[in-house]
Amino acid sequence: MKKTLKENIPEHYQRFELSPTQLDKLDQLQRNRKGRERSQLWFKFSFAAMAVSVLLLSLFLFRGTESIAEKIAEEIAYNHNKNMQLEIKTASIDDIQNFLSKIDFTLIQSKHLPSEHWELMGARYCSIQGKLAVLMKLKNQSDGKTQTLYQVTYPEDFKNNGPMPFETYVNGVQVKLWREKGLLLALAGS
Amino acid sequence: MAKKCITACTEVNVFSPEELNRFYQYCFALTGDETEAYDLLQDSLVKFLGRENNVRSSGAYFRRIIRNHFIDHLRKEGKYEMTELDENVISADENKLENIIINKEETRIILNKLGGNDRELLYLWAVEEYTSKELAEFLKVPRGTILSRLHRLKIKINNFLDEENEKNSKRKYPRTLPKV
Repeated sequence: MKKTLKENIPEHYQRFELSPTQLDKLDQLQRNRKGRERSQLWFKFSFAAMAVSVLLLSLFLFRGTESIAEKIAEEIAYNHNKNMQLEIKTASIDDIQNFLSKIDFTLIQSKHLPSEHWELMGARYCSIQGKLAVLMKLKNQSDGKTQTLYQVTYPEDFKNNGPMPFETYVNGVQVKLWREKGLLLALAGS
Repeated sequence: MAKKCITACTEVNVFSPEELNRFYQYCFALTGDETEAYDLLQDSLVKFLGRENNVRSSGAYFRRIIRNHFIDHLRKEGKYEMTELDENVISADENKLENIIINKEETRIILNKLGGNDRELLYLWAVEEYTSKELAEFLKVPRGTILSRLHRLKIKINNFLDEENEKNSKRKYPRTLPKV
């Protein structure tokens, strides 16, 4: 039976089909690729999840350090405002070291607070984050205002180092924290 | 069942058995041999699946991969012949090919006689129903070239049909009578 060329050509090609075995092989090829796509997707997802975790962990650690600094600042501002009586009145750090014999670290002369500008008035024990610390009263020679300086062993929590020096205001008291010669120092002033 | 498979295949960006058969037929049009057609299809599929950004559900894109792969293969074998570019367009259009009336057997013989380029052109024109503009875009030749190729094909096919008719008429009415 005669038809147009355009009708006959599709009919001719329709006779040629892939065998079931050939179709299976091609299907297998496609499935393998699907599996590979899935594993790639899984890899991308894992990578993204890991990146998010690292970010969250960093934020948490940073926030944790900051909150410890804030806690210490609050404690220092409290001690400063309490204006407690000094246990020893002296201008010598050595005298303080000898008198406050319970402390297990060596007091330092801070390079930020040179003795020609800051007059040491005396000291007493105090506590920062449950650790025995020393509160020193200093007089700023330039304006005559009294400030309190705190020295304590450097807290382990600070080892993952947040930004230092840390400076904040607590109840109107300016508190500065910094690390010096392995100690944590804090200066509080109104 | 078939419908389910088509849906599933589309979801994972692969081809259904129906689509694979269609591509196989295109490969057969190019190669003219069933075994070579399957090899071409399989190699092209591997190439297609290996590409990261393959266009989803793009038959034309995959067909182009098949074609390029086929041409690369011919080049390696030193069998690739450039199709001549006819800028002297013969006034012709593809509809005239449709006027040819032919039977199944003649179609088979004609397709067997034609070269890969002509078979591909006829396949794309008749099976995929590409217009001359689409053919030009796909084959990356000017539309004028497509029109003249279609025109030449028509002449070729008509000549063949005339030859066949002549042969048949000779058979029907032999010049010499059989000896009794």
